[in-house]
Formats: sequence, C-alpha cells, structure tokens
Amino acid sequence: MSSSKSNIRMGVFLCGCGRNIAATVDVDQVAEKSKKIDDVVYVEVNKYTCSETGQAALRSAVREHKLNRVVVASCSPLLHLETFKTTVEQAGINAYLLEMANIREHCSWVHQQNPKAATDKAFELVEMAAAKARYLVPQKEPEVSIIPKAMVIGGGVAGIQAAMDLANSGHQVYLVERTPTIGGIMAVLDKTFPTMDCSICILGPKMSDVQNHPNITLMAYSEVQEISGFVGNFKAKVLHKPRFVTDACTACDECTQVCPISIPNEVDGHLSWRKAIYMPFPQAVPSTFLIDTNYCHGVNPIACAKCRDVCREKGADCINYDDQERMEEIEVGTIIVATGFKPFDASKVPEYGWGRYPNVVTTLEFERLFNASGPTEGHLIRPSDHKPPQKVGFVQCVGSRDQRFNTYCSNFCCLETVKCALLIKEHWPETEITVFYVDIRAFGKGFEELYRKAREEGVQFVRGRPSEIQEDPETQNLTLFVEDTITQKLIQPEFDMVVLSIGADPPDLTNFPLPLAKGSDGFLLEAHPKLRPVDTASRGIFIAGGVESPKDIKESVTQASAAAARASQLMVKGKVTIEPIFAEVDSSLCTSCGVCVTRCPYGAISIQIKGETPAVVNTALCEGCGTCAADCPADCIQMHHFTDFQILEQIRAALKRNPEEKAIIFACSFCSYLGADLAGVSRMQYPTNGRVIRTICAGRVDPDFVYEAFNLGAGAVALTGCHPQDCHFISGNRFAAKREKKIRNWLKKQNIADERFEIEWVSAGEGKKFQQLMTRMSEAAVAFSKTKE
Amino acid sequence: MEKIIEQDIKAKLEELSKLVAPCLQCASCAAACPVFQTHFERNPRQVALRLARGDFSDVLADEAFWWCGSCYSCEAHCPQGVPLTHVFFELKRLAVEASKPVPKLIQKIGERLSEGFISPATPDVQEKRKKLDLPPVAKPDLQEIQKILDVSGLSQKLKS
Repeated sequence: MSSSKSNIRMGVFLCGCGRNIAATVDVDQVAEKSKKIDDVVYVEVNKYTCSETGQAALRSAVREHKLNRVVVASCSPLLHLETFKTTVEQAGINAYLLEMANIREHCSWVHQQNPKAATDKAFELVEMAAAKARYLVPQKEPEVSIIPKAMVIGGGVAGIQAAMDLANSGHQVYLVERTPTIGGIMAVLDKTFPTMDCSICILGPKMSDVQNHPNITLMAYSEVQEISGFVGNFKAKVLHKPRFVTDACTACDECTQVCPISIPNEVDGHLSWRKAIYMPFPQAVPSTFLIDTNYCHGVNPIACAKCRDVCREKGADCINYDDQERMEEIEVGTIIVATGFKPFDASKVPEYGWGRYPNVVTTLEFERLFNASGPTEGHLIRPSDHKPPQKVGFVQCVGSRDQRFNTYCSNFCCLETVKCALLIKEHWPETEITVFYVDIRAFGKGFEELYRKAREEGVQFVRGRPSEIQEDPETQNLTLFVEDTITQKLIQPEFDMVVLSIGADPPDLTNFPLPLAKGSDGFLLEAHPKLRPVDTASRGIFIAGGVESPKDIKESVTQASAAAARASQLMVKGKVTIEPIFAEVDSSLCTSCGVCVTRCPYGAISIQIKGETPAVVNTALCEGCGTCAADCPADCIQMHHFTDFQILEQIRAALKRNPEEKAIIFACSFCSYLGADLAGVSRMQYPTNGRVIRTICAGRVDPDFVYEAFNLGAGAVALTGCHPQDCHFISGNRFAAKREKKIRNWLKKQNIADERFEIEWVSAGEGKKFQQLMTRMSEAAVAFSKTKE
Repeated sequence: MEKIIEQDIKAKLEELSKLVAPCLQCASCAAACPVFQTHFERNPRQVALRLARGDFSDVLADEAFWWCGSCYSCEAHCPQGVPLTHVFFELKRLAVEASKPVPKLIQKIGERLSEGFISPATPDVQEKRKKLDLPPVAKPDLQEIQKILDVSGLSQKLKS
C-alpha cells in the first residue's frame, strides 16, 4: 500500500463478473498489483461487484477504510456507472468521486486468446482509472423541472398507442404525423394475424379516440423541423403543411365528384385512382379532405375552383385557397419517436419483375385488393385482366435475409403470407396456393397454430427460393423457377398471380431533427438491447415500433406502451437531476477571443464585448460536449469531471510502460464508446495494446491530448466519434475533424508518420468497424515500436 | 509427399467450407443454374451443402462441379453472397491436384485443345456470325496455345 502523504484514500474493487472477466483476466494478480498504486489503501475482489453482496461489501469498505475515491473495475460504465454511483452515495461519498475501469467489454471479452496480456492490460486500465480518480472533485447534480408534456412523432399504431397511454395518465401530448392522416401501415391492412381481426375495425376507434381526447393535440400533415433543449425541457418547431380545406369540412365527398384531376392512389398501392382533393381513406383522422398541390390546377380560383363552388353550393365554405404553411413552437419534457419502418421496395429485385409484370404484387398491394374499401371493394382479382386468380404463388423473404438488400429477417412476412393465404382459402377455397419459403418463422403466440391451419386448408409450402419469375406475354401468367429442396428437383410452376412477401426497409431519417444513434442496419439503437429496449442514449427520448426494428402490430403496441410508461415515469416526478458536466471559464486567463462562442451549438457561452469581457457560460444551456474547451487557445475553459488535467493523467498512466507499443483511442460517450462496447459484447477479438479514453464528445479531444500522447512516445493515436450527421452535440465531431489539419501539420514537424494518427467515425452499431480500427492502430503502434528497436 | 498433398487439399477444402458457411440452402443457385435445369443430380446447392457440413470424403470425386459453365448465375442470385462459381473453380483445381478422375467430356475438351477450340466453329455457327455481320472465327495460333498449356502445366496434368 502507498505511504504517500496525500489525504486521498482510494479503494479498488475488482469484479470477476462470474467467469466473464475472471476466465481471461487473472483478477487476483491485478488486485495484488493494484495495491501498489499511489493512494490506494484498499483492494477487494468480488465475484459480482454489482450484486447486492458486492455493493454491500463496497459500502462497508468505504465506511470502514474511510475511502474518499472509488475505482470499480468491471463492465462498461455505460452499463453500470449509475448503479455504482448510487452505491457510493449510499456509502456516504459523492457520486463523482467514482471512476470505472472497463475490464470486460474492452478487455476480457476481446482478448480471450491472450490471458496474460489481458491481465496486464486490465491492471493498466485500473491504473488509468486511478490516475483520473485521484483528481476527481465532488459535483452536485442540479435539479431541473420537467415540462409535463410529451411529443410523439409518428402516428402509426405505435404512436397512437403511446399518445393514448400518456394522455390517459394525465399528460398533455402532441402527436405529430407527417402524412394527412394517422393510422400508418396498420390502417391499410385488411386483417391482422393471428386472430384474423379486421385491421381498421380495431384501429379506427383508437384513431377517433386520439382526435377526441382532451389531452391530445393532433398535428397531422405536420413535420418536426427542429428540436433543441434537453431532458425535461425540449423545444420543437413543428411545420404545419396547408390542407386548403378547413376543419369545418364534413367529408360530404361532393368536391371529389367535380375535381377534374385523377391520379393513382398511393394508399391503394397505385391500383386505384383518387382526386387532387381527397381524403386518404374513409376512416382517416382527421376526417377532413385536403388538396394535393402537386396535382391540383394551381390551387387558384382562376385556374379551376370547381371544388370551392360545389362546397359553397352545398351551403358550406371549407375550401381556402389562401391556406399557408405555419410554424408552431412547442415545449415538451419528453419525446417518443415512433416513425415506423418503410415497406421494402420490390423493384430492387428485378428478377421477380414487380413493376413490369402486372400480376406480380406485394403483400401490401394484396391487402388492398382484399380490402372492402380497396380498389375492388374486397373482390380478389388479378390486375392484368380483372379475373379472379385460380392459382396464386407467394414468395417469401423478398428483400430480407439477403446480403444485397437487408440482411435481417423482417419478422412479420411469414405470418403475413399465412394470413393472406388463409383469407383466399376462406372466400375461394378452390384456389390453389403455393408458398415458396426458405424457413417459416412462426414464433409468436398463436402463430404456429395459424401456420398449421394453412396446411390443413391445403396451402402448399415448398421449400426453395425462386431464382426468377417469367411472364407469358400472351396470358400474362407467371412461371417460377425454383428447386423444391425436399424432392431436389427443379420445378417450373405457373401461376395467375404471384404475391411477393416484402419485408421492411429501415426508416429514412436523413433530415430527422434528432441526432439518434443508428445500428448498421439503419434502425434506431436502444440504450441497452435487453434492459433498456425503448430508451435511447439521450435522456428523455424514447423509441417505439418499426423505427427500432421490423415488427408486427402487437410488438409495436407493446413497445409503445413501454415507451409511454418510461416517459411518464420521468414526467410524474416533476423534476429531474442532470449530469453536472458543464464548461467553466477561468476569467483571469480568458482573452475574450470569441472562439468558444463559435463552437457552442447551444448558445450557452457568450461574450458581452469581444476583446474586453471574458466568456460566460450559461450552465442551464450547456450540454457538456467540451468542444469550446478543446479549441480554447488560452486553455482557460475546464469541463467538470472531464478536465484537461484528468484526461492528461489518464494518458500519462496509459503510457507509463512501453509507450511505443500502445495505441491511445479517444472515444465519445454516445457512439464510438458504444461501438467499442458492442465489439466486446460480440466477442470480436483484437490486439491488447489499445487504450480507450472516454470523453463526452469527439469535440472534447484537445489537440494537446494528441500531442501529449505522442510526446510521451505513444505508438499510435486515434480520435473517434459519431458519424458527422449523428453527433449527439450537433457539431462537436465536425469541429473535431477540423483539427485534423492542425494535428497533421504538427505530426509532420515532429517527424511522426501519418499512419500513426487517425480520425474514424464509429457508430454504436459498428462493433466490427471498431475491431478493425483497433487492429489497424495496434499494427501501426507495433510497426513503430519495431523501428525503435 | 502424398500425405502433404492430402493435408494441403484438406486445408483448402476447409477454406472453401468457410466460404459456403453462410449458405441457407435456399436453392436460389439451383433454381438459376442452367446445368441443374436438365440434370437434377448436378445440383450446386448439394455441393455447397456437402462442403458446409465438412463432408470432404468424396466431394472431389463428385462430377457435378465439373459441369459448371461459369455463367455466374448462382453467384448473382445468391442472397448470402456465397461466391459459388469461384468455389467450383477451386474444386476443379483441387480435383486435378488430387488426381481425381476427370469426367469423360472434360477429357474430350482437353483433347480438343490441340485443335485450338473448346467448341468447334461449326458451319452453323459460321452462318450465324455471317447473319450478325461478324467476321468468321479466326484460326487459332496452335503453337501459342500449346505454350500456354505447357507453361500452365495443364498439358502435363491432362497426360497424367
């Protein structure tokens, strides 16, 4: 134990995590070595530090040994930092006197083949944590009030459910829907599996409940343009698009009779026509018409005005050609994102001929051909000659489980097909139906029973994926080429109609006003895949439904209720504590240059008179990214809990031994650190000489950190963060990337090879990319160390 | 020496096994294969299956892959991105290396090489070319072809 005179009394708690850490890392050896770290007065090994036994041991050790700093070496801080913060507070010391060393995701799980080196690395990770812990100071978490209102983005079944649950719990809800009506994909389906309920019959009443609920403000045909603020206090700008029809509209339908413009109806999969003035479908909510400006004769009474005239004739006056788009600003405490997935675009698979052969339709189009309010009023006909089909083929996994399109299984398409096949059999039992599948996944409650029923009704299931569909130009019948893998013979069956069971494409979030982390599949990432499935990395923002992964109605509704409960949990408290990670300006050193002001995306830092008065931070607005601190030429801005000195101490500790073999990786808390954790969870192995230092944002990485690492002899350094458009702090990583030129110039002057420094964007879903980066940086370091020999 | 070759071949088969490991046995390859259309015993999916299962005992003696015409339809249709045509090329190489019997037709093709054509330019073909306004098939330089066969070691292999 240390005999230093400092008044710091540090305790180190090493977790074996059952065998998760202990199988690779010799935890006892790390414990022995840790005893010699300066200021460490107590070391303990736990089987599970996070268990109640482990936490109790930690609490009593803090009290007994009068510890005033705690290092827990276990899993990722993103998993259990909150747990241990509570534990040390219970033991009577400030939660910010705790530091974690990630010896599981960043060590034992990624170095399984190399226990010795993993053990050495684990000890050095403890040293790094101790180096930072030594200089930690207590912080107070400020409390802010929460606006007891929520915004739900997306009015599909998930958004509707979330809005209703929140509204019924007494919260005010804004439900924002991009299209003219709520209802989403569920509203256009005919029946639902496995119960064969009528889709709109169970959704319709919910939709009108939304419209009539006193706590819900429905904003249909509106888009969220901008979101700012933080948990409890978000500001959103919502753009209301003009409908040109007032709320007084009674949906009498006279206007569509006179409208001269007919266009293919997107709700019916373009299989029917609608007018330029229209209502998407009879049960639409809000149940008013609107004018489609893309097709109307100019929305101008001089050009046409037939609809306005007939409306006036009927004694109403609902057409308003002067309607304009309108921006509304709302303030909410929590946000639920439920924007859904996109149906797969079947034209991407040209070998199946969708879009070229009229009798090849998707499952969604089939739903309309079967729907009482669809183009055929529920009479199944094939598009080419409007005759009822005698032989129908279904092709599974269209666009799903396919490296060329979406690699994932879309979850709902198997039962969607089983349902459609049964619907045909119910009305026209003599129809021959064959389903071509690779695997049938009937995993849900009642699914297998429905699959069996389809077999009993005579639906044929052939295992084999068709390579091609060919159309007979005369009959417009379709021939499939497929190997029946059970009989091992090529068959070329002919059908009147083929239905492609399409899966889900990821949502298009290109202009989405929130920087939410996406997985490599393009769907939004949850904060934890098992334990926080509807939370995001941003507090107060939740996800539900198809935007998170492809899912059916029941799963969407379940998730929506969960998200609503999570949001409600925050709002009922009325107050929320926020992390005290703010910028603080040392006004005695500030030169009032104004660089920090240009760096802050929140307007949290200001200078009254440039060149004269020092910069001032508004802590209520500061989000703690640290971009200002990194770019401050006078180095007079400090980030609480992530100070320059604390980070430099971590770097120094990491490079104490054999610095030339080490690679220092700076990782942001919202993407790349999560990517590193994912590599760990996925057991993606990489060399042991990388050392990850967590910062809040890539913007926090001061070039001085990079210089210090190289000055100490580091083999390689990498700066990582979210992909540019995903930066949690809007522009932090953009400014980080701007430092590259400056850093490279410095490297050149120091005669440091270019490949020893890298800037790489790693999303939370890119474990593989992180593994590759670590391997590359490690190789660069090893190559450098060889030149030193 | 023979043992070394055997081990070498096994290692290479294991590499091929890894390439086909993502195969779901969906049979897109078979459905797209022009050879399988006429001969159900020549099934590209079955070759992939045998490799994926590590059943190497008679995989090289199997004639199926010799009939691959390298049209790449299987690769183009494979949803899992398995480079099946490449796998067939490798199997052919390994079969020769392991001195496995080569199907008669392939031997015939080998013999034809001395004429400079794999498939001869029949009068029918020449007629078609004329219609399409294409020049007649040129006479190959036999010496050059022989040299390629010698340098590549193929003529030696064909003899043995």
